[in-house]
Amino acid sequence: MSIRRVNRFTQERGFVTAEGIKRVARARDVTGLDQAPAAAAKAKPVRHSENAERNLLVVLHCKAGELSTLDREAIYVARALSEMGSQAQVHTLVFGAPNPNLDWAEFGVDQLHVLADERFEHYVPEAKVQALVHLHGQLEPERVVFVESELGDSDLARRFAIAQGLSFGGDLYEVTDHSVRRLSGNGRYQASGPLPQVLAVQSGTTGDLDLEFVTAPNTVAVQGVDAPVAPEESLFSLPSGDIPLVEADFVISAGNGVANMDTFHRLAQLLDATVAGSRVVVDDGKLPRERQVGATGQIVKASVYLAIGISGAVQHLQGIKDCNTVIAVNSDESCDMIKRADVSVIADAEEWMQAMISALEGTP
Amino acid sequence: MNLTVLISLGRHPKSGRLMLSPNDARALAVARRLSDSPRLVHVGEASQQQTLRQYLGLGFAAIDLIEAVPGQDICGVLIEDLRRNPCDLLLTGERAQGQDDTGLVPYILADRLQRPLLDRVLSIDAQGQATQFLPKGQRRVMALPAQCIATVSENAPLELEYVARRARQGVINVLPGNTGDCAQVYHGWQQEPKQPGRTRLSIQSTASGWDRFAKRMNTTGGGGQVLKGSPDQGAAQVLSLLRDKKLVP
Ligand SMILES: Cc1cc2nc3c(=O)[nH]c(=O)nc-3n(C[C@H](O)[C@H](O)[C@H](O)COP(=O)(O)OP(=O)(O)OC[C@H]3O[C@@H](n4cnc5c(N)ncnc54)[C@H](O)[C@@H]3O)c2cc1C
Repeated sequence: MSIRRVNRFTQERGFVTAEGIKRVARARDVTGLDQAPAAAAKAKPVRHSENAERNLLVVLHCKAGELSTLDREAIYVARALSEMGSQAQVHTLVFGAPNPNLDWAEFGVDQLHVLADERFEHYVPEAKVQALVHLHGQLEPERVVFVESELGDSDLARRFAIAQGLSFGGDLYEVTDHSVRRLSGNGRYQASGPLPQVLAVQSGTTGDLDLEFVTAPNTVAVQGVDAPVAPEESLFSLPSGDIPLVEADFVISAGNGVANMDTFHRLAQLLDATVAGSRVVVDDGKLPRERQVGATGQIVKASVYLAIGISGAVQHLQGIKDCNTVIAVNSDESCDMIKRADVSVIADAEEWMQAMISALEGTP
Repeated sequence: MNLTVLISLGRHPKSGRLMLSPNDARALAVARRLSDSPRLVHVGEASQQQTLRQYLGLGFAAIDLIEAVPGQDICGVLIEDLRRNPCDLLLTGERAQGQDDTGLVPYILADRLQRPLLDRVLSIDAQGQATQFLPKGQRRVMALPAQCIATVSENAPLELEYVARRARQGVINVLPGNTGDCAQVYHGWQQEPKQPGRTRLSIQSTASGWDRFAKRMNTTGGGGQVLKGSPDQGAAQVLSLLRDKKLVP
C-alpha cells in the first residue's frame, strides 16, 4: 500500500516577484501586489446603537480636559460589558470640559453627557450626586462604572451607591462577565462577588484598549441640573520642592548628561517643576535618594516628565511608565529614552537648558 | 468640642495578626489636636480587648467597646449608639485595614444619620478649618460643616507615639450591643486567601489571524516627534508644549 503524497502548494499558488523569485504564501492567496500587511490601515467599521435595549454609564472627571489611562480603562470595561448580551449603549458623564480633540468614537462611547459648569470644580459632592441621580433616572443604566481616584471619583461612587441603595464593588482589580474581585483584609484576602450595579475599578482590569470598531458618538449637555453654590474654600498647591515624587504632576529629571546641576536647579525653579534624577545622578550625590526615579527608586505618575540627559535604561523606564507625556533632551539620537518619549529634542543639555532659562526670563 | 472617633482592628500585612489600624491612628492624631478626651468607639468582640489596648497606648484614657457578633452589620449598631450619644464631629479613617476595607462605613453613617460628609481630611485646626488632600500636591482648605462626619486621609501623618504604660492603664468599657438587626451588608461576597493573577477583561476579537498579525507588524514602536535644530528652537517648542498643558504661564 502506498500513501499518496498531496502537494499542498500547487503550481497556481504563489507569485513571482520582480526579481524572478517564486514566493508562496501559506493560508492566504496573495497576488504580488498585496504583500505589505496593510490590513490595519483600513477604516474600522462604525457601530450604530440606535435600537439598543440596555444602557451602561461611565462617570469620569476631566482634569484640564484630559483623560487618564485609568479613565480609558473604565470606558473599555463598560464597552466590554455592553458587548455581552443584547445590544447596549455606552453613556459617559464627564464633569469638566473635555478637550475637543479627544476621540470618543475610538473609545467606544455612544453618548457623551458633559457637565462643564465651573462650579462643579469646587467641593460640591452632594450636587454631583444630585446630577448623577438625575441622569441615572433618565437612562436607567444596568451598571455604572467609576474609577478609583482621589480626584473625587472614589468619593462620588460611594456616595451615589449608598444614596441610591445600589450594590457596590470598589477597588476592583478584576472584572469578568459575571464576577468581580477585590482585595480585603489589608491585602491578604481576596473577596469575589457577582457583578455589582456600581463598579469602581482600579487600573489593570483590562488588557488592550483598542477597539476593532468605532462608534458614532453624540454629545449632549446635561439638562435639568441646578448649578451648585460654590462653597467658600481655598485651593493651594504645596511648593514644588515639597511634593513627594509619587504625587508630582510635572517632573524635571536629570541624568548623567547634565554637567551643571546649578543650571538644572535654576530651570526647575523657573518652571516650578518637581526635581528628580536617574540613579547615576543620585549615586553621585547630586540629588537625595528619595528623588531617584526607576525600578529601585520611585514610580512617578506625572502628566509631563522632562528627561534631560537620561539614556533610558529599562530600570529607569519602569519608573515612568505611568507618565502621560515624556519629553526627552539628549545629544544621542539613538538612545532608548527618545524611543519612549513623545517629544524629543536633540541638543546638548547645557545649551538647551540655558536657552530655556533665557526664554523663561525673557517673558515677563 | 464633643468628638467621637471610630476605631477598628487592622491586620498586619505580612503576618496577618490583628493590630491597630494605622488609618484609624491617623484619625486619632487629628482628633487629639482638637480635644484632649475624644470618645473612642469600637464595635466588635469583647475577646479582642488586648489588641484594642494598642489604641490606648497612643494616649487615650478609655474606649467604648460595643459588643457585636462576627458578621453582624456594624453600621446598625453604630447608628443606634450615635443617636443615643450625639457628637459634634465624627472622625473615621479613610478605610479599614484588615476587615472588608471598602471604605463604605462613613458613607452609610452619613446617609442614615443625614449628616454632611467631608472626605480625605489631613488636618483640622481649632477654628474648624479642614485641609483636604488632593492628588498632585494640591490641598483644599474649607470650613467644616456643623454636625459633620469626616474621614481622615491615608496620607495624613502618623503623629501619636505608643507608650506601653498608657496601654496598660487605660480602661475598656464593654457595652452590650443590640442583637436584633444582624443583617449582613455585603450579599454574595466570598472571602478567601489571596491568589495571584487575574483575568483581564477584553472584547472578543472578530479579526482574523492575518489581521491581528498585520496590526502587530504595522505598529512599530517608533517614538514620537523628534526635534532637531538649534537649542533655542528646541526650547521654544518645548515651552509652547508646556504652555498648551498649562504648566507654564
Ligand atoms: C539592579 C539595577 C537597578 C537599577 N535601578 C535604577 C533605577 O531605579 N533608576 C535609574 O535611573 N537607574 C537604575 N539603574 C541604572 C540604569 O541601568 C542606568 O545605569 C541609569 O539609569 C543610567 O542613568 P543615566 O541615563 O542618567 O546615565 P547614562 O546612561 O550615562 O546616560 C546619559 C545620557 O545622557 C546623554 N548625554 C551625555 N552628555 C550629554 C550632553 N552634553 N547633552 C545631552 N545629553 C547628553 C547621553 O547621550 C546618554 O544618553 C539600575 C541598574 C541596576 C543594575
